[in-house]
Amino acid sequence: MIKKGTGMACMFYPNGSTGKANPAGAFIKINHDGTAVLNIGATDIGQGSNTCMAQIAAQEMGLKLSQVRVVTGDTELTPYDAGTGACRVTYIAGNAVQKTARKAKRLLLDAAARKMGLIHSGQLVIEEGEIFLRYWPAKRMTIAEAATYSERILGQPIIAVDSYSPATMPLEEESGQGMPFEVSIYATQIAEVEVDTDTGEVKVTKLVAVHDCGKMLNPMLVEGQIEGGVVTGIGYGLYEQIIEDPVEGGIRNPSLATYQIPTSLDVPEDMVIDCVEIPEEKGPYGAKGVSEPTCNPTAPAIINAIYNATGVRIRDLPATREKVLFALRELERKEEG
Amino acid sequence: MSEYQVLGVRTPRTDALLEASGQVVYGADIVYPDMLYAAARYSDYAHARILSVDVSEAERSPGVRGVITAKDVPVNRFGYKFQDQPVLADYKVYCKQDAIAVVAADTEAQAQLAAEKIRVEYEPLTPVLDPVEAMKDEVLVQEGSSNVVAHIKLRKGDVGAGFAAADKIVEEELSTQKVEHVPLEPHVALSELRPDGQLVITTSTSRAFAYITQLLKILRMDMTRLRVLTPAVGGAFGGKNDVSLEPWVALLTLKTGRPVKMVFSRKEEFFTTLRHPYRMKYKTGLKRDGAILARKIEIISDSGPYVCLGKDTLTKASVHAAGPYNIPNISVDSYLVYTNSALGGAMRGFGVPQVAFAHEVHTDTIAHELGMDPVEFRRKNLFYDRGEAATGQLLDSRAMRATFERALELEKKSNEGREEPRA
Amino acid sequence: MGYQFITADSVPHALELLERYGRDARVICGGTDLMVRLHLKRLPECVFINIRNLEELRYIREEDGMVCIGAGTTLSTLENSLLLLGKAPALFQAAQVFADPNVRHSATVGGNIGNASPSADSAPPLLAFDGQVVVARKDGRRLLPIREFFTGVGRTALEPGELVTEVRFKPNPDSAFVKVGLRNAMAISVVNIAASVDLAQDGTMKDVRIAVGAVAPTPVRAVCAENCLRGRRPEEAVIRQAMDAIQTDIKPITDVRASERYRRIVAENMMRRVVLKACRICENEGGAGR
Repeated sequence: MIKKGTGMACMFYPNGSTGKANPAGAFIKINHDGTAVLNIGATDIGQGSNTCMAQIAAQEMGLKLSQVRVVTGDTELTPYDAGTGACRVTYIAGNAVQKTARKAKRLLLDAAARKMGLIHSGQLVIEEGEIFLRYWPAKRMTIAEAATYSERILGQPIIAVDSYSPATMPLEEESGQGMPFEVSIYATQIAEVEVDTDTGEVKVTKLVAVHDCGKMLNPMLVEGQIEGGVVTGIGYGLYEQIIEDPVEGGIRNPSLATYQIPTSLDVPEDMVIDCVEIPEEKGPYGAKGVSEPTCNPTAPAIINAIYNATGVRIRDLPATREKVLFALRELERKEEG
Repeated sequence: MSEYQVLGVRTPRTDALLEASGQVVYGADIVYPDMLYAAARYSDYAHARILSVDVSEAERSPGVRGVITAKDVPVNRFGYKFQDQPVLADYKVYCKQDAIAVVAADTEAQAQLAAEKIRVEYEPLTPVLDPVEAMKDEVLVQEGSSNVVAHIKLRKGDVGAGFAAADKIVEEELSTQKVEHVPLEPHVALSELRPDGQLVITTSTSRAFAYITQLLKILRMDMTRLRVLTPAVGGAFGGKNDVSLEPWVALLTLKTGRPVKMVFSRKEEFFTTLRHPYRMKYKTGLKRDGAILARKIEIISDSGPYVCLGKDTLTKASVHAAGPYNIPNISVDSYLVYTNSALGGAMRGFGVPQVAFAHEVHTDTIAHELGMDPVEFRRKNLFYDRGEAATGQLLDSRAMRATFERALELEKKSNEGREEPRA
Repeated sequence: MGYQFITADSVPHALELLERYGRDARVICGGTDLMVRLHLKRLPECVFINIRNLEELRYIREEDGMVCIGAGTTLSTLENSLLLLGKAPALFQAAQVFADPNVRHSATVGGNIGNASPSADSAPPLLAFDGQVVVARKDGRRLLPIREFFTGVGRTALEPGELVTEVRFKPNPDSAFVKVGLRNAMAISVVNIAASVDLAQDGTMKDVRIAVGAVAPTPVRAVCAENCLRGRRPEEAVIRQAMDAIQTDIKPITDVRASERYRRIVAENMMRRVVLKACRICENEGGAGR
């Protein structure tokens, strides 16, 4: 028989490492031709952070995305970064990039102001690749012209450096009290399942995932991260487990034939993904990181949905077909007895 | 839209076309002239004294250019706060995933064949594989240390008073399993000695600076002589947070003078860090109307034989263990326990997926015990705009209830026009 | 001796090679099983006789009321065959849930049965149809009932020098297949089961054949269960009896995928499901094998 049910789970999770400095550094140079190079220590591990960091730099300096090159993955050429983990790249490295880009932009505008004969650069803006006076837009020049003027005439190549580390403190040893993080993110997920009471199979038929990441800098990357996290969570909830020999030790299933990760047929066709966009004032352009904990609510939402569908409460992950079927039998026996 | 509006739009990744057309260079794609391939010999026991390691036959094996053992490692213990993990096993193996020696040969097959020819004599010791068993300290995993290697405490308010005032107390035990990250790309590392004497290690990592910090100590070098490069990385999920094969290729390059490459097989990928399994006890004191007065939590984390990031993950777990709920009195005691099982480390969520499973299932259990709808129970107890975490920190938690209400709304909306589910 | 690899350019050539290399020969076609074992170093040294290029072994046709399938026919050909969809749904459905699309494009019927895995998904349908295996050798050929084909885990009744060239069976539209694995693709069956039912006008099962895999060293016919059902209608009480009876037909073991107990319960439940599905009652109930 097929039994249907839904379950919910909520979570909160920080951006950044627990109670310690975890800075990100950034270098930027604007070339004389109006392109820029961004050097950051944060590594893109496949999640697309190079794109996101380039977006922040480009937006801040008024460049196109294609005009920013990102140099990363080199302990000699890039400044220090605490690493791609702790859901910290968008928020912390993003802040470092924005701060640095702002400095580079200031140098660029100062050069433009000098070329235009302005007292200072206060009224200059950059739009569509051009620098002009807000109240006398006829007076304008390209970013390349300003950069060339700075580097080749004034003798001041445009180079900027900055960094960011969240304001945190270690926890008190005995009480664990303190402020270990600067910002946190939140999420609620709702899973709908069908439980096959003849086999114990749990099919996740729908998953609603609503997350918080402040303002979305790149909605496509955000959605990709949430989808991926949900699949990870389904694996954690229903399929994946390292089996170790209880006597001799050693992993008995170190292969993808016996260690079961979900396939495309094991994930819901109906995935409803959304973000509540409450801007984070401390984040770059209001953003916070989203990706790491997207898997956190999925497994408990599924487990709660199984209970809702069948009355069976799985308390040890994963809820394999075998475990669910045996629990169903146990419940039947109790109800009959 | 203007090309200059870069943020907030659905911008494809700058490398999307290259990724989709297979033109991105991953570590495994890199080939140097004169490059050697490395293969490791792993332990046959989860816990044993090593009496001898004989590599002579392996050294004579066809194509072999060098073999390293613990003797070749300048500083053979590494780790962040606890330096308890050997680069190569010396007098003892602590788990079956420990490597004892690594061979470099002209081809991968030759290296693997030679690695099988390494003779290791052991004196087997009793392995302790269950963390609760290990807490008794009858068999010590690391000499001179209790198996309970860390105890993390969190105390907010007065749980005793909270429970005393409670109308109902709900207790529950929950546990999670050990899982692997399964990145598409397994670990890979290459090393080469540049003409100016700089050793360059190219490795698939998410934390190049954390790696170089560890490698500098292991190899006794400074940052003028050592450099870490990261090529494109095919997924990490926390599994590429910790040094594994990098010192091996580095030492083999130093020994042979030639570039060395090593790519983990899928099987070896399971030998790197895994997500810690947690055993958790939750106890919650409630008012009849559903208000939570107190929560007491106990967590036992199986670290495997080394601390690695076990304490950091457990700390983060402890801080989040009570969930995003308004609870005035919280007590958390978390124990990190050494065992001879496979090593735990960072993985997506860093300790919090385990406790999120626990606090959310527990939330449902409580609601049912109180005869409340779990959704209404959450609505009553979730953080408001300024939630107070278990650490006493005030959070900007406006988004908590926003996601909650939006999720309910979207779930309802997605059911519109659907057939009634079959009974 | 290492591994050798020889490509046959015709069936007679393949048979000649098989005779020449005798016990050292190993036929390879789709390679979806052998390549994995080779990679895992679980394959003894041998001479691969490659029959992948033999188009003459790739066909599905009807002859004198029998469906004949060339041994080199891929599972994806089966899952796209309208003939099987209409006349032999059990085999069609087995092909649909076999591994994943990539594997189905390469794996073949001959390889799937020749490999003699207890969990081979094409075996239960062929057993339920009481099919035959056409076996060729250099000096002739013989017909082997599929019931006698499997002799143990990874073992068949094939002699050295012999090649499976075809499987054939009398099709039955009142047939069905159900599979339970640990996930919904790339899953090795924990239980797979096929039923073929000859229905009378009044709904009585004149004859019924049930075959089940992954619950014994070879895929087996569930004779005791069949006996409970034969001559009766697929009613609750009848099926209950057959569910009890199937326990004597099977000898499952506990392995890394599932316990004996799980396999026993699921075999019972899936027997019910597959019989009802074959009788077109409550079709598509449940998640497994959908």
